[in-house]
Amino acid sequence: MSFAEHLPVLQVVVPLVSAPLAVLFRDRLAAFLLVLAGSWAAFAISILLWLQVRESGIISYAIGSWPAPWGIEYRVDALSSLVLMLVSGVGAVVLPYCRSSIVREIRPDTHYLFYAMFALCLTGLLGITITGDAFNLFVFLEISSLSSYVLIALGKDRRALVASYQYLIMGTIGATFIVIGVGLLYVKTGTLNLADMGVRLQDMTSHRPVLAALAFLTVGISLKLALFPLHQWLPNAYAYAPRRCRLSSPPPPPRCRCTHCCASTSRCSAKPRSSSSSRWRT
Amino acid sequence: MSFSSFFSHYDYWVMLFLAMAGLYVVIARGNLIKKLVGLATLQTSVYLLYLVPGKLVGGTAPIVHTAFTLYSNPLPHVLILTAIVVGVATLALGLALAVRIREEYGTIEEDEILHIELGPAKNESAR
Repeated sequence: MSFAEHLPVLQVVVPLVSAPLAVLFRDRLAAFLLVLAGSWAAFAISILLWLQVRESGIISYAIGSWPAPWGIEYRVDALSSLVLMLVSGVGAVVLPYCRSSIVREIRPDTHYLFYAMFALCLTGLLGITITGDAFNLFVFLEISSLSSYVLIALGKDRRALVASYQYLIMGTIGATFIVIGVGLLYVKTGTLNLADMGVRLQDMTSHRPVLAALAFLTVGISLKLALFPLHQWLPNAYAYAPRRCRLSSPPPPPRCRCTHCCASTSRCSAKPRSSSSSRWRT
Repeated sequence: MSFSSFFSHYDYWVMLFLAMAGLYVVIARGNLIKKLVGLATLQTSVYLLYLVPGKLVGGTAPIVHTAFTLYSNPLPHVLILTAIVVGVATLALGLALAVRIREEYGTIEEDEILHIELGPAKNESAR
């Protein structure tokens, strides 16, 4: 029961707690300092996790002490620790940098809400990266997406509202497709743990529900990634968002990680793997 | 596909109908509120997809007692409770955005918003 044992869950909980606190303080400076502290703490935790993984290999953390295939597992391996460090590092560096642009572009009385949404977005992205549970992944995906919609809608230009609305429609369709895919895989395998699911899927690569599930997952994740034919929501969302949001709101690495999770669960998912690598390059 | 296997899985057909109806409304309607109604229908259909396989005819909640031997799977219910919360949050945010759009543009029809943004000339040529 040491502090270091609980780093995987603290990685997500620290920025998550800073969001409601920022709303409760209702003060620009206090909210900024809180979220800044939260995101730098998240960055420090991710570095510690990376060092731990280098030393002792894959970390598996059972939430609430429920063992892995039944409970929700947080899993940190070499790749996810690197992505965690990337995401939290970008968040921690961008937040102080963006302060002047927030002051210019967002109404002063909504500043604390912006910081709260920033913290929630960071929470969701870190959660996507660290979780080893398919449904938990969907929940974190929606946490990060919903906060991104708000971040975009906070732009001063009224076109930001329409852009955010379109993003919401497309993003929710994508999320629903992901849930359908996860549901079909759950029905077939009886497990939600990604590693466990991957093992069980090896024997049923050509079953029709599994193929349908992978098709749903591919389309849903491509919508979330704004992969080429499904990218209509992206240009406006970027153009009319407050300037700083562009740096963080749909960052590619975590979405890529999300794809990669799905790819690593089954050998037959050639499509998600290729889409993840293409996003990585852009 | 035989007649009996079609009807033995009728709940999936209901789910498919709801999903496709929701998706159609999202795509075909220009009214921002109606789009959200379609989106909610699409999300609701997924609840059915999860709940149906978890139900066992004659099964009870998983209570450890000698009187009960047949249990329904409680996990899908818990998952769907979470999905409902996510769906409500999405719907609330969508409606809030629609209200803000109405305040800024004075309309919630997509083609009228496009008309305001692009001007009449461009809008005509787009058609």
